[in-house]
Amino acid sequence: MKSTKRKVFASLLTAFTIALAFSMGSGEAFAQSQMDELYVVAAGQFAGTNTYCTYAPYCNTSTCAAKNYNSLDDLANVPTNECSGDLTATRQLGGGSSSRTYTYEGKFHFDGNFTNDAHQRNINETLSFFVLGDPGTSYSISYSGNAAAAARKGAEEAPGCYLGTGPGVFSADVWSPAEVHVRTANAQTNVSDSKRFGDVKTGKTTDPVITVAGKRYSFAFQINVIGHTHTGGYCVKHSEGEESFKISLDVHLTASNHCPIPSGEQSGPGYSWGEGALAPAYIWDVVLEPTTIDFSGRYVREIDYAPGWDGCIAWALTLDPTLPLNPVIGVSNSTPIQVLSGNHLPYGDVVGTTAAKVSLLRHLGLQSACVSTVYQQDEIYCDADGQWHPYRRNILRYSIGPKHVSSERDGHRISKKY
Amino acid sequence: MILALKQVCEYTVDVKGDWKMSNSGFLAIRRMLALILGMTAISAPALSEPGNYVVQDARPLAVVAKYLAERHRQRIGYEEPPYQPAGISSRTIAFTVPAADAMSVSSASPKPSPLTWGDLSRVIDDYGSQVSTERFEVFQGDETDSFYVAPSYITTSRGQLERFTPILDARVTVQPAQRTVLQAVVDLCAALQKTTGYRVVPGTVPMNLLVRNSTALGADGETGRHYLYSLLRSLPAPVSWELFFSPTLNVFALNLYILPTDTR
Repeated sequence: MKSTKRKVFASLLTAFTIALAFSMGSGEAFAQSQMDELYVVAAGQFAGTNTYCTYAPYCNTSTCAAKNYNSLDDLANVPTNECSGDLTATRQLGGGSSSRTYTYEGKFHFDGNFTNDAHQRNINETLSFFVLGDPGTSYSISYSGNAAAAARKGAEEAPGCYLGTGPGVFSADVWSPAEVHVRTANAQTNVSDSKRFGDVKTGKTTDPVITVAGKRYSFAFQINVIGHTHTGGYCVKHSEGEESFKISLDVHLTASNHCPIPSGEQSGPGYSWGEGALAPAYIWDVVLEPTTIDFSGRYVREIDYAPGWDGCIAWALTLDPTLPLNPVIGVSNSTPIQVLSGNHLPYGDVVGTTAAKVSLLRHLGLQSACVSTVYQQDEIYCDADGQWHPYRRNILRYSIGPKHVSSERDGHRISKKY
Repeated sequence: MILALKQVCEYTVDVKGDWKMSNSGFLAIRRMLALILGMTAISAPALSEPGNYVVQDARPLAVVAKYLAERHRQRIGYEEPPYQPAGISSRTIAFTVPAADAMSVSSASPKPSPLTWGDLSRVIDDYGSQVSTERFEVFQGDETDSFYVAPSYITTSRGQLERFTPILDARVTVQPAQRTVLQAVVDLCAALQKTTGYRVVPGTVPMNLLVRNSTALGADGETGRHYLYSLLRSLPAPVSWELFFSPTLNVFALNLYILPTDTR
């Protein structure tokens, strides 16, 4: 901060800080990770004015600084100077996951003389919260915060002119999300107040839809942030004081109903039979549904929802109790994999067995087809609640016959001579 | 195949429950095999105290090794010799299974403390005191907390107990090339077969895990086990192995299985 003296105007020392900090603290403005479920867009205006200058040219009647912006990461639009004083504004933006923390602090310091002045700083912006998914996505968002205002008046010397005097007044107001108002008295004083606020918003998202990093977010709700500081006086030779407000906000996407969960998946024969050691196995193409929701970047995995049954090994053990093969009783990869664009999984789901295993079983005299069954549960990770959510159960089955093998996934079956 | 793993000593219901949660894969195997043999599911061992267990199986040592590997989330490889037909049959063997970390019983993370070479040696000693047709030993693996159980003596066709070099000690050469880990395992088996003269094939393996991960690793005269370790370390999930031999089929099969993790 620094001050500047002019002939009529009091020196004006201004500091106005806008800070937005998000819980993930990535350090980059609203950087969206691929796991983000919640996105915020801020639009609003900063305006600094001196509205009661009636004795021009001894004071400036214009609006000193007014800036509109439509995104909190639009750093270039933050005012950098205002009227005769200097305004410094900084923003720290970050983002990620499903939680956001927002802090907005405005501070104005005055040290000079009043002719007939009313210096005001107004911030009025809207935080719009968007949830991953198309319109109609269910959400539950809770927020809580604190609105605080403070003002201090120091030493004062009046009157400053022949018209009489109106003592300097320093005041600060928060109008939204909660109302807090403070105003200094004529004498030296410190005043402050604060108020907690909070709410839970539930519903389904609507238009508009924004696309960030290739992912679609639809609108959930918005919060208005309105803060104000005022410094005024009439014919005061010297006055010193300051006013400030601070709005803190924590926003969380809660539970799982906000997190798009696939309604199912297509298990089509989009891939092919394996080759070499994998020749008896079919590789099933898997696409998450609905395709109108973009699940790309999300993580999915498979686990067992029930123990499987390997009828092939059970049969073989009756002929060779020393069979050197373990039964297949579960899924074979629970490592999370990331969904690709178009909701495709990066790998097909291999259902079947190896050439060596088919050979060994047939060597034991396989006369009719044996069947191995695995009970697969597909799950998707929701970053908002840190939980895996089941979205599909599939029965995986393969059979080995004397001359054929088959592969079955979720009711789709394919076989070949092998 | 596996008949029973039964605890002889006393334990509590709570402890049973905790064990079941952390060894679902093993339980699933036991349940399935119990069904095969028309038995009810067998009792769960306690975590907090050493226990005496009776295993009736053609491969009792493999059963205990896998149980401990899954309980402690440690790679404990198990390797067999080329048994004579009479050398492998259902046996009933009593083991004293080492204690797990008592803290794990009530801990949110049920991973017991790591097993030591001495812990496993005592299990091998139990086996050796009851089976005289072959001898197994415990060896330190390529990683500090991994071990493998491998045969050191076997009864030959002449009926004599003779020194045996484990199959995976064979030196192998596998050309470096980008391939799936499954193909690398196939190539390892082919290399072992070429070196040892025994037929070696991939057994039951976690196919999706092996197909979805690739490697460019090759082997240049290193042991088959060392190459296997390299392949397993390249996977995103912990995997251990069992090299079984069937005298009926005259084949070794390299089985791989995923160890439980704390993230499930």
